[in-house]
Amino acid sequence: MTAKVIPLPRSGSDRPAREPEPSAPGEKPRFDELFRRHAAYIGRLCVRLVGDPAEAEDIVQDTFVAAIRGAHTLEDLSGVRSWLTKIAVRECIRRMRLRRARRFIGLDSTDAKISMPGASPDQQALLKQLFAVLDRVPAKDRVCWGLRYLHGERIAAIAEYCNCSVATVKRRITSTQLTIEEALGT
Amino acid sequence: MNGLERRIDEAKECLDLPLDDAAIDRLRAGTLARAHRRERTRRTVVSVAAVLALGVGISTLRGWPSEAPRVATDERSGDATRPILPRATEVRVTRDGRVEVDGDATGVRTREATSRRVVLELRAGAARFEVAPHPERTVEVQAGEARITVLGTAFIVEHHEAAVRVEVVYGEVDLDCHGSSHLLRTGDQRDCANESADAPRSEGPRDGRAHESVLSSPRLERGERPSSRRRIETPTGAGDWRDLAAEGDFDGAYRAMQAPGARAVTDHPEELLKAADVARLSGHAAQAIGPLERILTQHARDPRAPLAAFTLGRLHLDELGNPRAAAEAFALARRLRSDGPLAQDALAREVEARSRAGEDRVAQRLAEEYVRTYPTGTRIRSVRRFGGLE
Repeated sequence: MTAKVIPLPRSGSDRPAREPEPSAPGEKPRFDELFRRHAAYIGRLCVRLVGDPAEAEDIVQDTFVAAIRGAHTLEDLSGVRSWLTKIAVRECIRRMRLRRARRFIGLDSTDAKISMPGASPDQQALLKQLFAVLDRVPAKDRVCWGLRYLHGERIAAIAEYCNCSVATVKRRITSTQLTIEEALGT
Repeated sequence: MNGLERRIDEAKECLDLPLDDAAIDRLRAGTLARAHRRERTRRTVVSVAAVLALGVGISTLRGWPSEAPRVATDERSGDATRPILPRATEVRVTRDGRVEVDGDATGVRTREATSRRVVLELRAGAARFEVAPHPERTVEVQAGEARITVLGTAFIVEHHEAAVRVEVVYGEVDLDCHGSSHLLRTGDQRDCANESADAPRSEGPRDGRAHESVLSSPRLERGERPSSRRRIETPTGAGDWRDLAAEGDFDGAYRAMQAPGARAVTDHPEELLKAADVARLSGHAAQAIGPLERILTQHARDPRAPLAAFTLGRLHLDELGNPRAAAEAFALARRLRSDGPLAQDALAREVEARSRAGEDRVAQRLAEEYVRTYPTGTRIRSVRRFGGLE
């Protein structure tokens, strides 16, 4: 008998391996498509909030795992990125709190590594100092400030991601900014 | 905007996480693996909670194995072989016939384990197999309609509903698919359908890159394979040692190589590798060093050079007791082909070698690199252990 050999199933098209086949209009996006379109953005967001590239990658994975489980709740397909951002922000806050708790009880005394490709020595020094200060700021305050000044988000969008009012976002940003200026000068 | 704000505004552009296609693939696979693990854990927790709530003993619940794993006994050593579990598990058959498992899963069983024959069955999921060569023992892995006979190698088997995929990391395997035999060498990959349906053949990617496939379960880590395999034509009227080696008679081949008048080993990487295999598999590990080092010094650009370096590392570490030399060889294997199919294993084994050589700090640094680069790597447990990350 001649051996029957077939390639394992792909998406049913001849599309090159790197481009996921887009979903049909109105259809829920496939995981591959979701991942390839948004993973880089979520990764960039996370590294700007937490600094450490390994932790950022971890959060990317946890974000999409949560997305897999919660995909049935996604109704508005045009808001996928916003939905993923909310999940990622929540996960960043959780990890920042965990890290602060560990530092408080002395289980973690190391400084987080910062991913800053292409930074000059001055910029590296500034970013290290900045994240050292941010490590001491409450997680929700830190995230609001990071979304505003490191990720460039609008206040209204930050309020949506952090599930709080615009006034609360402004208060948190101001509080964090004061802490930073006290530590690093102006 | 004050001075500090301006400086932060300029510096923030450097805060980035560059993710190329390979990194995206890695993260995607890691995400799927994580999702599956958590779902399994969730079901187990729910099951345990249900048992406690009902106040009954252990029973067959959803997600639990439906039968106890079988255990076979090695006749020669008398040791019971442990049941092995799939899902990116690492399975090792040692030189003395023991079957060792790193990781856990539920789809691999030992069907037979004697001094002459070891038969493992992969019922579902994926596992990486590494088999220590032994001239008098055959090792076979069964998965679906595929029968993989090991000839001293490391290979990956993925058993899916539609087909079984076999990929050879290094060495050779004989794949029997529906009664047809296929010899797979380093870098080769072949699918064996689980149904008798006409379908196009798959000999491997045309462009030398691993197949992209939409799988419900995560794939094991793999890198690019050589884009072409240069087959060296051995001289006509080749000497007996080559024929004996091809038949698996490595003792006879080694004797033939030493015999007066025997045709010399030619200076081709493929033949040098064969000569090294003959020496190793006939129990003359030290004699294998020469041919392997020749490849690395004279044929460093050959696609087989990383394999030669890797094999040299294994020789030094597993058989000659030279962990420092082994570490250098594994490091060279990675330098020669940092994105090749051996890179992950070479890094893992370098961690072990450095640890055994007493270079704990280097081992730890390399272990951290492994964990960062291959978060779902098949050797992650041993790397954590040797790298002191536990």
